[in-house]
Amino acid sequence: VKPKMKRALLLGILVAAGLFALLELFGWLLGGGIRFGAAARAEAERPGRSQSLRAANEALRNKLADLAPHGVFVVVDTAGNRVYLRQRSVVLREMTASCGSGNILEEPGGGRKWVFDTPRGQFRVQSKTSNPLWVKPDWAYIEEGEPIPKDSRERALPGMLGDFALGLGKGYFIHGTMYTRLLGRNVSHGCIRLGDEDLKALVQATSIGTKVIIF
Amino acid sequence: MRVLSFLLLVLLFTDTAPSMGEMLNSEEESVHRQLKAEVEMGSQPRVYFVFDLPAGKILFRSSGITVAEMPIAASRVWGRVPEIKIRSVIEKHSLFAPRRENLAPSPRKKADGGKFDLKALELEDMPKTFQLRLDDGTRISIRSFRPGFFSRLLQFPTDAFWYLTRPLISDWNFFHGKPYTELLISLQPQDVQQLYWSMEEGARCIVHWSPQETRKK
Repeated sequence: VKPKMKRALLLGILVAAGLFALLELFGWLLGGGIRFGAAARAEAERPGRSQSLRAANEALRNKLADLAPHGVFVVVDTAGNRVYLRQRSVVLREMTASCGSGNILEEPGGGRKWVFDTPRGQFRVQSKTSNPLWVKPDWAYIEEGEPIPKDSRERALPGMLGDFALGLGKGYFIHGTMYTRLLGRNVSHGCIRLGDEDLKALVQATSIGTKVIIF
Repeated sequence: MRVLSFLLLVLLFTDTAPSMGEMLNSEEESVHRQLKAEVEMGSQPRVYFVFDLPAGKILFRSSGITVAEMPIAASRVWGRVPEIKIRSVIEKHSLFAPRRENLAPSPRKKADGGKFDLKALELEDMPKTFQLRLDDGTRISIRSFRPGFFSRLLQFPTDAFWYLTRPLISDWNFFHGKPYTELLISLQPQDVQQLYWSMEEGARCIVHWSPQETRKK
C-alpha cells in the first residue's frame, strides 16, 4: 500500500506543479501583451499618416500653450502648506501658509456637517479687501460651544483675518492670521492663511481675475 | 513533438518586433492622443495628473502648465497597455488610510505654555503605499522607493511575489473576460504621501505609456 500511496502523492504533486506552471505561463503570455491587432498595425503604417499627425500635434501644442495663464498666477500646495507666486515656470515668491485641517464638525443633534478642507482646483481672485471683517460663520460658534447670535451684526469681528483678504468665492479667502506660529501646519478651516509680509506682497502682485490653482 | 507544436503556437500569437516606421508612427500617435486629452482637461478649471512614463515623472497640471512634479524612481507595467485617454480615479485604496478627526464642540482652550493640541490631517499621516483603480480597470500601485543594497535585498521577496501572482491575476481576469493592466510605480516616500493627498477619488489623469512598454518587463 505504501509505495502505491507514495506514487499517487508524487503524481498529485507533479500534476499540481504542472498545472501551476501552465497557469503561470499562460498568465505571462497574457501579461506580456499578446496582440492580435493586425488592423491597428495597418493603420499605423499608412503612408503620409506620420506627417499629418505631426502637424496635428503641433496645432494641439499651440492650443495647450494658449490655455496657460498670461501674467502672474498663484499656486497653492495644500499638503506642503506653501503658496507660490508664479509667472510661467518662474517662481517669483515662495510663501509658507496654513491650509485646511481636514477635520469634521457635526452640529449636535444632527443636521449640518462641515469638512474643513481647502478646496482644490482652479479659482480666480474675485475680491481684494483691506482690513477685512470676519463675519463669524455658524460653524465657528458650534465649534466653540457658543450660541449662534440672531443679530448678524454681532458676527462681524475685526482683526481676525489680518490686513488683507483675497476672495476666491464660496466663502474661501487667502488672508492673514494671528496664529503665525502655526504657519506651515494644516490648521485652518479651509481658507489659506499667510504671514503679514507675504500677504502684502501677494495682494500687491495680484489683481481681480488672477488665477489661483490649488492642489 | 507536442512541446514543439505548443511553442510554435505561442510564437504565432506573440507579437513580433515592430518596424521602424511603425515605431515612429505609434510614438506620434500616442503623443497625439496625449495632447488631445490634455487640451480637453486643460480647458476645465481643475488640476489633473499625468503619469509620464517615458519622461519618468508624475506631473500635476492645470491649464496646460505643470504646477508640481515628482520623479518616478522605478516603474513596471504588467499587462496590455490601454489606449491613451482621460481616465478617472474610481477608487483609492490603502491598508492604512488616514482618518479624519471629528471635532467635539467645546469652548476654546487657551494655549498652555506655547503647546498646542493640534488636531489635523497632515502630509505625514498619509500612507506610503497605496493603489489607484482607474475607470478602465487599470490599477496603479504606488509604493515607496528605498535605495541601497539591503533595501533591495529586503524588496526581493515582495518582487518575487509580485511576479508570481501577476500571471495568476491575468489568468483570472482573462477567464472573466476582462483585460488586466497594472502599473507599479516607486516614488520617494514623501512623494507617495503627496500623491495620496492630492489624488482624490474622481481625479482625472492620463497615463502616457511608451510604445515599447509592453515589451519592457
